Amino acid sequence: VGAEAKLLVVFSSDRYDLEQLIGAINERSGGVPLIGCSTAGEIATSGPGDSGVVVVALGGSGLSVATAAATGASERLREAGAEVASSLKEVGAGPEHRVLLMLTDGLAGDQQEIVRGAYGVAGAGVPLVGGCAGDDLKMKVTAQLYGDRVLHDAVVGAAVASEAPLGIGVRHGWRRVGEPMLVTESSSNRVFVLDGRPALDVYLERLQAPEDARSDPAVFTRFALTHPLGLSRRSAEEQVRFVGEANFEDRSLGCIAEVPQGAMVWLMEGDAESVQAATDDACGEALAALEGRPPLGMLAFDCIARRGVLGDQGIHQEVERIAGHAGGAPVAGFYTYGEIARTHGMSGFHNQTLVVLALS
Amino acid sequence: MDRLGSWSTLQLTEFLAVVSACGDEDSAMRSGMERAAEALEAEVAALVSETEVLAAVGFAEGALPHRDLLAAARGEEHCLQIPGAGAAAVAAIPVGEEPSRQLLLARGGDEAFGQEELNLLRGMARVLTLTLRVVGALDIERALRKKTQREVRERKQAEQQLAHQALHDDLTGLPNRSLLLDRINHALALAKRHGATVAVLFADLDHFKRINDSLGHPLGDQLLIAVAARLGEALRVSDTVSRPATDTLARFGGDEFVVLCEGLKDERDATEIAERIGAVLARPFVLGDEQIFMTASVGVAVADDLASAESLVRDADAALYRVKEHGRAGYELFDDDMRVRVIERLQRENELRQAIDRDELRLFYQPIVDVNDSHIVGVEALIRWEHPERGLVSPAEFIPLAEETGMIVAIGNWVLEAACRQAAQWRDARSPLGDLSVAINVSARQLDARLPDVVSRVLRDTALDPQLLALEITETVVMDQTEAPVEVLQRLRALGVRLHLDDFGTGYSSLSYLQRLPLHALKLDRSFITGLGDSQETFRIVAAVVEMARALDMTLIAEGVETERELACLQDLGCQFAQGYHFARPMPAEAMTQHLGGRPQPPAASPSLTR
Repeated sequence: VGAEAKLLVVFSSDRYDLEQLIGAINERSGGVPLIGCSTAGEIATSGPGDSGVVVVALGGSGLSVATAAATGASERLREAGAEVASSLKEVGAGPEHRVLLMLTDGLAGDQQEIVRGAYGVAGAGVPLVGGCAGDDLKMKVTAQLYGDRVLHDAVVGAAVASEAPLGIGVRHGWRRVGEPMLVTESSSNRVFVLDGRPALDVYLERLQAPEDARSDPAVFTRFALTHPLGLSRRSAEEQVRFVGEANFEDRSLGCIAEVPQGAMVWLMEGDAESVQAATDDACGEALAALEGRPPLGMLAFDCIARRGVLGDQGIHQEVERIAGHAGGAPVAGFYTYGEIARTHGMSGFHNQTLVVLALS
Repeated sequence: MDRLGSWSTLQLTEFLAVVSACGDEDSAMRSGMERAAEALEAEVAALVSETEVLAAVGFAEGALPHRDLLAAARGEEHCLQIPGAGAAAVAAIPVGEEPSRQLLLARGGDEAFGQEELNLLRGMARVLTLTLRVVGALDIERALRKKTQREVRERKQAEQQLAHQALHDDLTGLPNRSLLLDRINHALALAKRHGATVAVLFADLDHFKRINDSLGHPLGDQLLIAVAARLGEALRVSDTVSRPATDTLARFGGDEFVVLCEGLKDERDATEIAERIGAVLARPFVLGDEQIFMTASVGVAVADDLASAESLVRDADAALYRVKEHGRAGYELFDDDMRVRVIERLQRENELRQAIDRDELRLFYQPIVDVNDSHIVGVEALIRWEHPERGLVSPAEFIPLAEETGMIVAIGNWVLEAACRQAAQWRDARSPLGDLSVAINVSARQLDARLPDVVSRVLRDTALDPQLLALEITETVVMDQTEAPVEVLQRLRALGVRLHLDDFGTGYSSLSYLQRLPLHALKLDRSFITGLGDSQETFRIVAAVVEMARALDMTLIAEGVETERELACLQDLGCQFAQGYHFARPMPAEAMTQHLGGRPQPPAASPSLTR
């Protein structure tokens, strides 16, 4: 990206001893500011992979960077978002284009609250982009990397200011299936009752879920990956909510972000074709913002659920497509538990979505 | 438009759900503002009054365009420049009860807000207004509920405090008598089931009264607190689960402490604790500048199968009494001898109780005479118990028991009534005795605020001249108590009755204190009279007392005059009145009439006790 590295972004499988890993990276980089997170799969120019490590360096004379971290996020989601966004104050008022890159613990609670907190500080002038750390679908604990520290239940971020334009693209490619359901009882990101009945029962029945998904949490999570909920939004695409887990005792569904009580939700479906089409659209949207300049690199935050729809073959094709749009510039990213992209409006948290950041 | 129509309905239900879940006004406003902006994909939202921006979102910190927002709220601006997002169309909708408050939304891009969107926004503003009203009411309700809960909590605490106070001693915080009795009963029930031994230790501090007298009550209280702590050191700490060996310390009142010992192997365990109590008290107590040495007398009683809390405490008390008899500072185990005595005492107690009902009490009368001519100036009524089997029982045998059990009050009142009735009878019979004063003894326990009323009633009932009634109060009684008796004595004196200080010389009356008491006469204790002619020293003392009585303008009556020689001395010293066997023994009322009949009548102008 440039001769002088200003920021290292690390995406790594949690199979590694992350402390040792970033220790080694810091030793080699000489302490360049670093953020990163654990993943549910890594994306590099060469293709997608598991159990790997991807390191990307951002730099160059036209770039300035400041990093921040907030811990104990689950107890103070909004504050954590705001704290990380305050790094924007340190990148100076000079460069025209800014973005706040955020990596969060998707298991910490309603991610939209983190985005709201960051938005409250950043304001409409600064796009937010990033994703939720993964743990290879174990849904137990994820890590956020900050300098030489491995954090959990945290938000890490980097304020990036650039003289050259930055572009962001967001697409999912899912569509509604069947009739909507009323969220009759929910609390933040937990859905208890749909259409007056236990949410899990309604969900399993409507989707005619296989037997083992009805009792085995791991099987359920894999099944739910490709069966998200959609919330009605003003603009064309529904806001998609990734169903991460189910409580077989109280029959509730756990989503990665808020599903408001009183909302209408749809079951959503996607296929390889629509998901791949969304990849092209997201990249196109990001590149369009570069005002004709060629990209110097692209960061991809790709939902783990899209992986489920595309299959192993499909994700190779997807990453090839992204690399194609990059036109030879490096591509780095990871499979996420939720994506952050706020370019217009105030909502900026997505599920089952591909978010692309193009740098020029 | 159709799609937007159903969309906006859905947005409104969602908005309602989110905003109504907010607990307070601030969060409802902020949340409503944000949700409206999110639904309409606006970059910026603000709540604005006529003069200020109440809340805003979408502006970078420190980049809030106050003036622009106020202008937009007034309808003067329809487009806002948002830093980083360019020009944005504005929608403004009134919200809340105050008409001047507006919800502002601004959305970037070319698209202005459509009619359907503005309708949705109005709906949201209405929902928010209603929610704020409810939340406001909820706030008040919540404050009220909090207040009520606090009151309930405080009342509960007060009740617990009262319950605790009812069962604990204020000074030391130890369980009190009633709580300990309860615990003992509980321990006895447990012991019966598990076959362990229960004992009660009754500890009384030796000469504690002297501490209060010499150093004052505040220091006495401090000492009691320190003693309670020290006694705690002597107790066993429960060390086994299977055989709980616990001791409970309680304060029974005054300087009396009682220890309940549970889970003992045998009585040796109990006496060991008594020994430890002696040991922990052996170290001096240091209070301020004072170093105080304190000992205790401890009675130990071990429960048998028939024991109750009351019997166990009574037995320990009896053992304690034995320690006191033997010179204090030690312990005694309640044994069979004591049991026999306790049973005897209980029998006597019962008998005495019945004595009043069965009319077995009698009054004997002993003349009080003028030492110069031996003519009778008054009588002292003395109680006797005519026991059906034992014959006449002397008061020395039953009055202490009556004092201890409190029966003395009933007996004292009986004496008062009987004596007054007798005096009235003599008066009505026109007996010369009718002109003489009758003295009765008043016990310490009788001398309280109720006594003047009782005396007043009896005088009224018998129509007796108050001057003919003399109440004899022992010196120690008056000295032991401080202020209260003075007031009672004054009320009695106001009734017109005469007041005699009995057993004078056995207490520690100071001249100044005597002066404050409304007394008419001093009765010099018999110990000063016995052998009056043999000892120069006694002679001088009595001479001084005679002088003192004269100085205080009080009559002096010598008690226990038994010999001619003693009488002669009294005559020499100028003591005016006397009583004793030398003149006459106490005798029944009828005998008294005869006794008087055979004696010379006093000259009209001679001194009398009713002067």
